[in-house]
Amino acid sequence: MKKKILLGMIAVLLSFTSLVLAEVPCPLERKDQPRKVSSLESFKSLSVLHDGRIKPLDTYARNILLQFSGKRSFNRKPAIEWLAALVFAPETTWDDKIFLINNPGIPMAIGIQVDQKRQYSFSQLQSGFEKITELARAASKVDDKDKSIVQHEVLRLYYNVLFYSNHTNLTSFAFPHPDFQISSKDLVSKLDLPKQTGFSFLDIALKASLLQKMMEGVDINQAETLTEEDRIPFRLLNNLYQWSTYFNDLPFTVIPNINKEDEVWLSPWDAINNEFYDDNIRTEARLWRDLTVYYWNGSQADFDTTASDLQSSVRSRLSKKEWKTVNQTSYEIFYNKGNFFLWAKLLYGFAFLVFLFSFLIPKPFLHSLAFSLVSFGFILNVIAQALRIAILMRAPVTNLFETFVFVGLTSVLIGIIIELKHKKWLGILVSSVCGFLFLMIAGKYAAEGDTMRMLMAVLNSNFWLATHVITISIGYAGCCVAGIIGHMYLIQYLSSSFKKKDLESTYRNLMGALNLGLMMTFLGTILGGIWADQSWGRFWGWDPKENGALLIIIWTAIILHAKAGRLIGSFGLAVGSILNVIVVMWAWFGVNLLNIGLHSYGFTSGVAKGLIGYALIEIIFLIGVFIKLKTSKNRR
Amino acid sequence: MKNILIVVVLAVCLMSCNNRSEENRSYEEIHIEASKQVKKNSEPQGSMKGSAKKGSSKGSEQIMKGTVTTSPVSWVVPSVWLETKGSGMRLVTFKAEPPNSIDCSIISLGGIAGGFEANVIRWIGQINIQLTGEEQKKFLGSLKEEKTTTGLPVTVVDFTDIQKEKNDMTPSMMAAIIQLEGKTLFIKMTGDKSAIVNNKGSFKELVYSISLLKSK
Amino acid sequence: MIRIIKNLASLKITVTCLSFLFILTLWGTLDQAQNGLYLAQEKFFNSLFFMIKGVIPFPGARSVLWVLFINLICAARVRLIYQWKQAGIIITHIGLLLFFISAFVIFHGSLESNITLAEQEGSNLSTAYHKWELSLWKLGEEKKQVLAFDSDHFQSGQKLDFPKYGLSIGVKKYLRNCEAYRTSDVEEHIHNASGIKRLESIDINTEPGRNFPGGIFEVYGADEKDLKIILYGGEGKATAIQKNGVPYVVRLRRKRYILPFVIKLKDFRKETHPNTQMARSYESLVDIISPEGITREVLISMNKPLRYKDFTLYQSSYAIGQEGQEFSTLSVVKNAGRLLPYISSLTVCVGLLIHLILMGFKKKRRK
Repeated sequence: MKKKILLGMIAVLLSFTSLVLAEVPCPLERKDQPRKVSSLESFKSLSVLHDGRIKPLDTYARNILLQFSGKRSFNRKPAIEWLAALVFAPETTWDDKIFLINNPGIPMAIGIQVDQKRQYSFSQLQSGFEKITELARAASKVDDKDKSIVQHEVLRLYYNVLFYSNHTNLTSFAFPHPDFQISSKDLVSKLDLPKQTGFSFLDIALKASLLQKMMEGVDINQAETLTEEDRIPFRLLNNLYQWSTYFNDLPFTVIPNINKEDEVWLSPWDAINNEFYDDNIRTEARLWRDLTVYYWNGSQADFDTTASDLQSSVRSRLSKKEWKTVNQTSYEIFYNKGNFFLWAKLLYGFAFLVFLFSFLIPKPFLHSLAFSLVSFGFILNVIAQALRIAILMRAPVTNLFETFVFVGLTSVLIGIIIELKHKKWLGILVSSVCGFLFLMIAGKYAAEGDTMRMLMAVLNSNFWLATHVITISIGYAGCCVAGIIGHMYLIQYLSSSFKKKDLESTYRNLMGALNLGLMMTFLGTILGGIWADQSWGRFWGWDPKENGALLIIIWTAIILHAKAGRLIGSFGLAVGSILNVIVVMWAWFGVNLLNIGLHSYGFTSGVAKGLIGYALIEIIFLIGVFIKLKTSKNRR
Repeated sequence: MKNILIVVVLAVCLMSCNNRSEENRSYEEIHIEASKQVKKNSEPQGSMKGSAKKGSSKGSEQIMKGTVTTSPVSWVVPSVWLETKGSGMRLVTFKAEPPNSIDCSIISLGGIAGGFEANVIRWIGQINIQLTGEEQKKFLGSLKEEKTTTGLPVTVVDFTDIQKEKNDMTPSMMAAIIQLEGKTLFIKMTGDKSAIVNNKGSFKELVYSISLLKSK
Repeated sequence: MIRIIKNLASLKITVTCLSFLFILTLWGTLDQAQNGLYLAQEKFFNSLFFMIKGVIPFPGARSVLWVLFINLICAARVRLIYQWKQAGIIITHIGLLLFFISAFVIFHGSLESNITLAEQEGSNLSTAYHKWELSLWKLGEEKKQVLAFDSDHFQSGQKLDFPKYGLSIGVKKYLRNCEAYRTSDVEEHIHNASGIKRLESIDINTEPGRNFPGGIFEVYGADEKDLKIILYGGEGKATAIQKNGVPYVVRLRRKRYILPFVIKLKDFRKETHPNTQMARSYESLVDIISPEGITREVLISMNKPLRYKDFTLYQSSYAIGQEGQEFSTLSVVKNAGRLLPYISSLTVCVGLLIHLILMGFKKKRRK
């Protein structure tokens, strides 16, 4: 329609050009290997709009690689290197094994060799793509709820391969192609083009208006009478049109559209097709062409200058709101580079090992070592959390991944406070176990995709929601800490080596954590009720998530009342708080398993198994404790 | 004192048990028309999903679903097409793979939705076909009502017939309209001309397979 | 008496009730995955008791909560120690009692419905989610005065009188969920605006909003003798009957509730996250016209409802019509005790806070 101005002018010509109807542009063959640039620092920080958020290409590269392969790097090289190759020299990535297929049945079904590492390349899959499409078609007919894991995986693979292949044409406008060859030297000079014969789509597109002018006055109905040379402009314009209809709706939206108020971004091809009349768009398309050329030539300095030109051109056209997001780019690259969660996790893990080691060699320096490990891990954890808040400009807890990070952080903090007060390893145990485990689970969730997604309308900027989620997360943390102390209490209770005083101090900490857990969960649930009342008009609706929180409250109320009524003792309370952790896990992410399909491929079933496994281990542990208790009582 | 307390509790308990009986009501209905031409033709759709985090959406979503008269339509997906979930007004969307990539959707609208001819003329404009008044009349006259396999009245509109451009890459379209009581189904396939031509069979297959879900 | 109360106040009862509640909540959650929220809620939470596999009775949350309520009242009488150092615990439990009261008031006093408007459209009625009514009105009157009967409990043989118009309607057959057909084997003259000839009963849907009732009715007092009509909840047209040449209209439709104002949608706005279909925000700009004729402009958006007396209107969903006209759906909640949960929550929180502070003091003193 009107947006396709370039096309509009050309469309008229098409009625008589059947004689020069070109074949559909095929993927370009470029025989030489690109020289590549050595540093991609400047490329990394270019902006792209993806999943509703403007992010640096660095994050984009990690996310799509993660989406394809389940990893954030390829062959130990950073994701950005792979993305650059995909964008500028796509055919060099055809043999890269980047598609993860967990189920060996799928490669077998599409007739390719099963790979031990479960990774497959585009060239491998291309041959079986028809079959994949067929399987995906069948899978797409099944209701999301009833889809098997294999069906989910087939669909994931199908969309991934499509998404990948859309990336292989991103810069095709920059490469010389026979379709845009000009054999007539006269025409080349008329068009003010460099003295050569092979040109790219972009070269010719930039001269489209000149070509158009040349054709004015030429009688369309007498095409047969034209000389071969006179026909070239027609052929060129026709090919421009062919190409522009072929390459559209592509991903990799790196060019903001020309309307400042409208937040839509376009891929280079879509920008060329829709808004090429605008000077900024022409400039940016040319800069992308230059980037491609410099990437191939390996000219680092030119590449960097072009990238920074591109960046400033894009930024000069942004609205205030977008500008704010783009400003966080450096934080985000720092966050990506730092890998803080991984380091924090390792430090917590080490602290736990030191704790175990201290049983062998009870030396005081081990205690300070473990404590500093935990504290240092905590600091990294806090930095990562702060960066996330700065990047996303929103409250810290909005998805399952973030709850794990946040609950982990809170538990570590509680542990550190306990340790500062009592200095008896208990706090270190709590911090290291919680920190390590929660960051590990968070890592699993992060493997599902981008952890910085945009929020749905209900969740957006709401005071009640923010406070609700944060309080309830603290409540979860309190309950989990109580559970760990509960284990410690039972072990101390059974072993003779602990003094009664230690046992009492453990019990007090247990009560403290449990009370904190109950109180914050209760408060969080109430805040959730208020939020629900604000947005749906009902305080309580027996929704699974609400019920989950209620279960924690009821369970804690049961054990606290049973204790108050002397139905159970402090031993029973410890058992109760261990079981409480199972209830917390259920409320936290167990209920999400009920609506399978929201974000479930492969891992969700793992979560279900993990949850059941965890509950079983705890029950076996408790049975063991009871047996030990019975036998030791008999002995006494 | 304590006795009174217990009696009160029991009384409240009993009160809570009796059902509210049905009533006979009289009320005044005030209605401000939106505009004379626009027919109200849509049920609430696209209920806001709540958070994945909180999950409370389920309740409200179900309530919303309750108010949507669900699509009473079923169809058989042509074997070479991929069915994807509909969104918004679309009941369903189909795609076919390159090089014959097309996008086909079934849309259900209440009422007669603007009239048959108006829709066809609008579509002609959408794919940039220039017709003289005479040609337009002729084209509209050439459209015939057929029956689907279950006997629903359907009119298939093939725009490739009137496209003068021979170029296979011209954006083109094929559509069908099924007029039901109180609502209209639009089946629209868009893509480039050659893809449309190549998918004609599948399109007709789909259109003729459409039936009302509940009819026996 | 005191002894009975003491027994009723036992912590064992508390713990037992809480355990039952725990089981019910967990079970009710799991059941939702299969039977949907509404049925699970009716079975586990709103019922006094239900049968497991039709044989074994099990208490529903409603009865458990009643027992817990009595237990709590009795405990408040005999168990709680009314001393300053227990102030926190006492206030917390008073807050809990308030929660029970608010639950009771809300359960019995709240009404949910919705209203869908196109831009520039206005109305004074909201629509029930799954309750139905048989309504009748005279055509062509300046003020449309509707007479309606709640239809959900219609029985065959029941007679509905509309003395104002000298009409009455007898229920011949009423189906709570059915399908309508335009063909019939039996040649019988049954009047219907949409040409429906036959209704067939189907199973009640687990989602109550998916049920479409229908029925065959006999009209007495109309111009045509022995006039039989079919009404179906899913049809878009109203069936007309004539009395003394004056047309009346009958419909089976979702129950309407009267709002104490007329609401007119002036503008609906929606924003999505760029390059995605994911909504970022929605809002409806409406005019509220009070019975006195005073117009007030209000913006209703996500998390920012409109409150008017007992009514609260929330932005709930939207639709875009073919010509691009926008529809906004607002859910309407009439809630008698809207503030009660807030008060109860506040009381409990204050109680817990006081308890926490007192505990802190106790610890310090001990040291």
